[in-house]
Amino acid sequence: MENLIILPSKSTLSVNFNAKYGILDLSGSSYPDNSSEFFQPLYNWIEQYIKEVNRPIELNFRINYFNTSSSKCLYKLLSILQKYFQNEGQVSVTWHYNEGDDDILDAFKELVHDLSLPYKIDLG
Amino acid sequence: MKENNTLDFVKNMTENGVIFSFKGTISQDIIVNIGDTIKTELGLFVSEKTVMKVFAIFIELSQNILHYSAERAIVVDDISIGVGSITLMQDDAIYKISSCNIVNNDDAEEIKKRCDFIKTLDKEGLKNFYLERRKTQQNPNGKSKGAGIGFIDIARKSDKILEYEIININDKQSYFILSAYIIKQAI
Repeated sequence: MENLIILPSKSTLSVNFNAKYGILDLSGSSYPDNSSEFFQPLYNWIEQYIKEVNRPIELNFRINYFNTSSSKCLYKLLSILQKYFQNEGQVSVTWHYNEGDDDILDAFKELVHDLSLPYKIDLG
Repeated sequence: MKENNTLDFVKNMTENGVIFSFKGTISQDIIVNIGDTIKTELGLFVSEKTVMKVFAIFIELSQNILHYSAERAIVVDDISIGVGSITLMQDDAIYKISSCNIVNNDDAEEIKKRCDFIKTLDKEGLKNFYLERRKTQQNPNGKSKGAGIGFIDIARKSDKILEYEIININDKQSYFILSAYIIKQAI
């Protein structure tokens, strides 16, 4: 399975999904004018990985801002992982953030608040 | 167009504490560029937290115009971009950010209902409403490009209750003005 790499722009995330190691990195800012269009290949990749590779997934967020339509998409992405986790898949999520940036940390906590996915919060 | 009115225009903006005002086609490129300017310029005077709140409200208001303004500019084929205006103002203690665009009267009633409901909610109520809407709006076939939760997010970030006005133009259309306020926090 191929890796998924998308270079960042001012309003879209840097995506680096590695199929060999199951490491998924998302970083930057997310406020595209069409969030669903941007996130669709990400959902597709994860679904294919679950189907074909079926190994542990480590998701790392280094996001400093996301708008409301991206928040809807991130919630959907996490819901796909939640389903995998409930079906015995191994998933770990880490939210990396800078000190003092409580607002974005709260926004992340709201994304996972009703999911049972294990997550870590990492300062720095 | 009146003649020699540029000075009046600029004076008026200065007297009203306008930091910037943009009227026209609100494309994604324009949003990105104004957003950058907000971060750079406000970052000199107020805390990062304040800057990011103003930035986030700016993004929601401007993308709302881009997607939903009834006044549209055709870019290519079937792609159109909303036309409207967005203004950032200040006094010593507070930033006010306002958007103004045209809506169809058919939609005005729904917008009014949504805004009036949001205005009745406190912080906790807004949070619950936001989370509930985000969850229930996971509709992949939905036509809407926005999340429909932008107004709730703006209300959550605003330090004063959301202000809105719907001003009738004729039997088909109205102006819709939405404003939020952010208290300045020192660096």
